[in-house]
Amino acid sequence: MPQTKPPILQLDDVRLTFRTRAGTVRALNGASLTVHEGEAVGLVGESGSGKSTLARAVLGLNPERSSRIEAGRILIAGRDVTRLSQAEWEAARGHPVAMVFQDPLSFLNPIMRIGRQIAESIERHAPDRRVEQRVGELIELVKLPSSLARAYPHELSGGMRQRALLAVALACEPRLLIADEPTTALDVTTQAEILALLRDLREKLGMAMLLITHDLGIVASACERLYVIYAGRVLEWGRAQDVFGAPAHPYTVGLFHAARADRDAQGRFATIGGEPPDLGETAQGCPFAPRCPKAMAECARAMPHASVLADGETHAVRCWLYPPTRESETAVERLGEA
Amino acid sequence: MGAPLLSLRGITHGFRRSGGALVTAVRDVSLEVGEGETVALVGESGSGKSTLGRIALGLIRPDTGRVFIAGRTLGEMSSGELRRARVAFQPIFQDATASLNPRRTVRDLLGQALRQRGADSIAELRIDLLESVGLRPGRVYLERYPHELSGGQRQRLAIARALAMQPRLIVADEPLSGADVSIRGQILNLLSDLKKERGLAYLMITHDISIARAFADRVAVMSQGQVVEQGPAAEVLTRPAQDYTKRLLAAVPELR
Repeated sequence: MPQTKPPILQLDDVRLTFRTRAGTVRALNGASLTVHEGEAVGLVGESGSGKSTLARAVLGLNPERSSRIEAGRILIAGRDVTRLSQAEWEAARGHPVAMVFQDPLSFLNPIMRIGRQIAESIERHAPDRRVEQRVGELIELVKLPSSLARAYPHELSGGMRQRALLAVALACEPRLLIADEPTTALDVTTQAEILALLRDLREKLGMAMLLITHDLGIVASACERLYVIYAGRVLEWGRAQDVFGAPAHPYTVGLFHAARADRDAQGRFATIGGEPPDLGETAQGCPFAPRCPKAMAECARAMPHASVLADGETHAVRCWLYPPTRESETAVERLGEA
Repeated sequence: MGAPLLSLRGITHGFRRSGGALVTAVRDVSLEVGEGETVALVGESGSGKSTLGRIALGLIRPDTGRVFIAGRTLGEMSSGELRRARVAFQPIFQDATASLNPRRTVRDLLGQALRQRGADSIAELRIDLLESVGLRPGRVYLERYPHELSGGQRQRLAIARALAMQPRLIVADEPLSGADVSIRGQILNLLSDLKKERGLAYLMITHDISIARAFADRVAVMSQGQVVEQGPAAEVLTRPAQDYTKRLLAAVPELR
């Protein structure tokens, strides 16, 4: 399908480091990802995978002093935001990208009523709107009772707080919503409600979503495409039905078994051996190689290029087990016009 | 057959909110855990499952109802019996970091537990414990502090410390919630091995249905302080009889 508009979000081979007292941490080691207008994309990873760093980089939220984008670029709706200054971010933030977090309390102001916080968000981004009416609309949109406009964050349940934070985010009328583990702190039934609300909002507003999670089940129920990230590198990506139908990277395969609490022939729970990687070390090859049951000599030497697995280029993997595709790497990594 | 290892009979317990209102956290709950049995207590936050776990551990005295350990109430026991009964039930919590003193080395943490039990040859037992939870070779971990271990290693250390008391029942409150997906299997395998090797019983408190289904012999589903359904795990979690259980299962995003 030809794309007339540029993708709402595009990361090309982004390398990002943090300077810490213990040395340099390589949080993103060449991460590429694309989100098209209106599309729901999952970014799946464990702790230390770089998934939240990636999300914060898109909004310029990583600390300016200690973090640095060493290479690559980030485009929002075609605009290069890789080198924006903090002041430029202040002006740009919210539109067309907004973000919600796992813990709404760390973002909502504890001593300001919910309605006021939504109003401030509107005033910042569209000051000419009739603010009061718009606050009412947003509260209705996220299915909160209108009386809660006068409530303080601590008076709300976890699910209601997430709805309130969504209302603040949507006040910017974003074309892309980044949701970083939005339901991790919630009970399953509340989680199901929030996921249903997100689906509903996307349909109504035609908004794209990048859903960041460690939970493959959530991606299965909420996303059209997904990326699997490990140690700051995307190892596999594609349409959800393709990746779920035939996961290719040994890490993705292991993750699926672990998430389902599958057992092997000996009745043992499926597991991925070893520990998540130390990002202080320079990984030349595939970062998963030390834990990989199928690791070969090449794996430690270099990171493989992408291999396209599905017809129509809807599924790809970076793993030496698969023959590389002979196109330019960036072309392959930008695929996903599914 | 002897009396079950743990038997909770008609337990009701409430808390007073800061405003003064009384909240009933657990309402007339009866539950048993047999020797070597794994029972999962599933439900949402606020369902009362953690309160019930604390009652089982003797950390909370219920308002009404009785707790039997191997057929006897705590009230019938002498102080020596009571002490032994207490160490026979050990907790593991979700956040191993919070339950391990950050200023103590692995050597101290395990030594303290072993001394509390009155064990001899502590140095040897310490290494055995570390190796039995997969921290091998044990001696390389002795001088480390909890923050110098990975999340998975810390959870193993917390398990080793519980084992130092030679428990017969482990009350595990969300033991896998803090662990990454890829290392969950390691912890589950460890808990299974310990069950086989030591005949341990588990009361596992979890909101994760897939773990309850995979790991437990029996399941009790809690909602609003009450056990709404209990029975064999395979049955309750595949063919639930109660509406609440059905709703709970339907809410879990399923991986085929």
